[in-house]
Amino acid sequence: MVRRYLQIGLFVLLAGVIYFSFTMPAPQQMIGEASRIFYYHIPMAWLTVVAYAVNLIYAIRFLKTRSELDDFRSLWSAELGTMFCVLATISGSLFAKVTWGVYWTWSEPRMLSIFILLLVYGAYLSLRAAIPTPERKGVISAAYSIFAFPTVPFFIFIMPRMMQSLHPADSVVDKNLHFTMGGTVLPIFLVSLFSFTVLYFWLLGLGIRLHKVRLARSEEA
Amino acid sequence: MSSGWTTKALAVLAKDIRTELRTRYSLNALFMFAFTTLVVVSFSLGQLSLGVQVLSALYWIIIFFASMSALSGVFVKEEDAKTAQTLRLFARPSVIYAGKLIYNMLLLTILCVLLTPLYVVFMNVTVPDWPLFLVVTLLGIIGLSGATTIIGAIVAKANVRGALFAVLSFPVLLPLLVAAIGGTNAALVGAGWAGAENHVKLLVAYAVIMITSSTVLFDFVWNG
Amino acid sequence: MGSNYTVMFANLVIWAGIFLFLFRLDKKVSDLEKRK
Repeated sequence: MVRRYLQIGLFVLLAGVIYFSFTMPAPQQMIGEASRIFYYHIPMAWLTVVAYAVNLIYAIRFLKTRSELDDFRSLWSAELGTMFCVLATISGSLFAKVTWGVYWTWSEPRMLSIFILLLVYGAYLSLRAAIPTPERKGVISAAYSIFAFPTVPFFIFIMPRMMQSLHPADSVVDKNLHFTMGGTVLPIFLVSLFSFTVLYFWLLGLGIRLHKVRLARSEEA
Repeated sequence: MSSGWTTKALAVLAKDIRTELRTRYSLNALFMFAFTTLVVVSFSLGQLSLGVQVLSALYWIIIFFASMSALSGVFVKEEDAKTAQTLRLFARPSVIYAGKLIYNMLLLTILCVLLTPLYVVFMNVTVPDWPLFLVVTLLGIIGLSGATTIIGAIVAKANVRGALFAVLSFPVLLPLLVAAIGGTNAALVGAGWAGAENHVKLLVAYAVIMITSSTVLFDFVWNG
Repeated sequence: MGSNYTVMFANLVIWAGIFLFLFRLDKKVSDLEKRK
C-alpha cells in the first residue's frame, strides 16, 4: 500500500516537472524554447552513467559470487542504461539540430561521450548475445564491462579538456557547458533529475523482482 | 617470479612465432592490408597532398584496421586447433597472457617496421622528429596490444568473432587512437616533446591501465 | 511544433499512460511474489 502511494507520488512529481518545464520561462535565454529539453535530456544522460555504474558494480560482484541473480542485475541495468542512452542521444541530437543546425558534430565533447557510452553498451549486449553457454556469458560480459569502464571517465572528463585546448574559440562548446540555473530553473531541474532517478531504480527493482519470481518458479518445477 | 614463469611465457611466445612463421597468415594479412591502403590512398590523391593532421590519422587508421583483421584470431586459433585446453594445463593464466601479449606487440612492431618506410614514400611524408615519431608508435603498439589481447580472449568462445572483435575493441581503443594520432601529429609537425607531452602521458597511462586490468581480468576470461 | 501547452499536455498524457502501465506491472509482480 505504501508502495502504491509512493508510486503515485512519483507521478505527481513528474507531472509537476512536465507542467512547470513548459510553463515557466525557458532555462536559457540565448537558445530559447529549445533549452527546455535540458530538463529531460540531462537526466537521461545522467541515468545512462548511473546504470553503467550499477552494471559495473554487479559485474564485479558476480565475478565473486557467481550468483545468476547478480549477473541478471548487471544485465538488466545495462538494458535500462542502453534505453536511457538512446533517449539521451536522440534528444541531444534533436537539440543540436534546432540550436546549431546539425544533427551531429564530433566537436561537441558531450556528444562524443554519449556516443562512446552507446558504443560500450552496444558492445556489451552484442557480446552477451554472441556467447552460447550461460556460464561463460556472465563471466565474459562482466569482464568486458570492467575492462571497458576506464574509457568512460576518459571521455566524460579528460576529453572535454583536451578538446577545449584544441578548439579554444568554439562557441558551441562554451555555450553548452553551463547555463546559469537561476530562478525557477534549478528546482525544476533537480526535481526532474530526482524523479527520473527514482524511476530508474523502480524499473531496476521491477525487473529484478520479476526475475526472482521466475527463478523461484523454475526451482519448483 | 621464478624463472619458470618467464621460461613458460617465452615458450608460449616461441610457439606462436613458430606457428606464424609456418603459415605467415597474420603477417600477410597485416602487410597486405597496410600496403593496399597506402597504394589506394596515394594513387587516388594523385598530385594532391594531404595535410599533416590527415596524414597522422591515416597512419593510425591503417594500423587500427590491420589490427582488427589480424589480431582477432590470437586466441581463436587455439580454440579452433583444439589446443586451448592443453594451453590451460600448461601454465598459469598470467603466463599465457604475457606470451600472447608480447606476440601481438611483435606482430604490430613488424607491421610498423614495414609500414613506416612505405608510408614515408607513398605519402611523401617528412618526419622532422624521428625519435618522437618512433616513441609514439611504440607506445601506441604497446597500448594497442594491451587492449586487444584480452578482447581476443573474450571473443574466442563467441559466435560471430571477427565482427564482434571490432565492436568490442573500438570503444576501448578510442582513447589510444586519440593520443597516438595526436602524438604522431606532433612528431610530423615538429612540435617537439613539449608539444607531444600530453599525448605521450596519455599513451603511457593507457598502456599501464589496459595491461594492468587485463592481467587481473584475464584469469576470469581464460578460466571462467 | 505545437505550442508549449500542446507539448506539455502530450507529455502528461504519455507519462500518465506509462505510469498506469507500471502500476499494473508492479501489482502483477507483487501478486506473483505473494503467491509463491
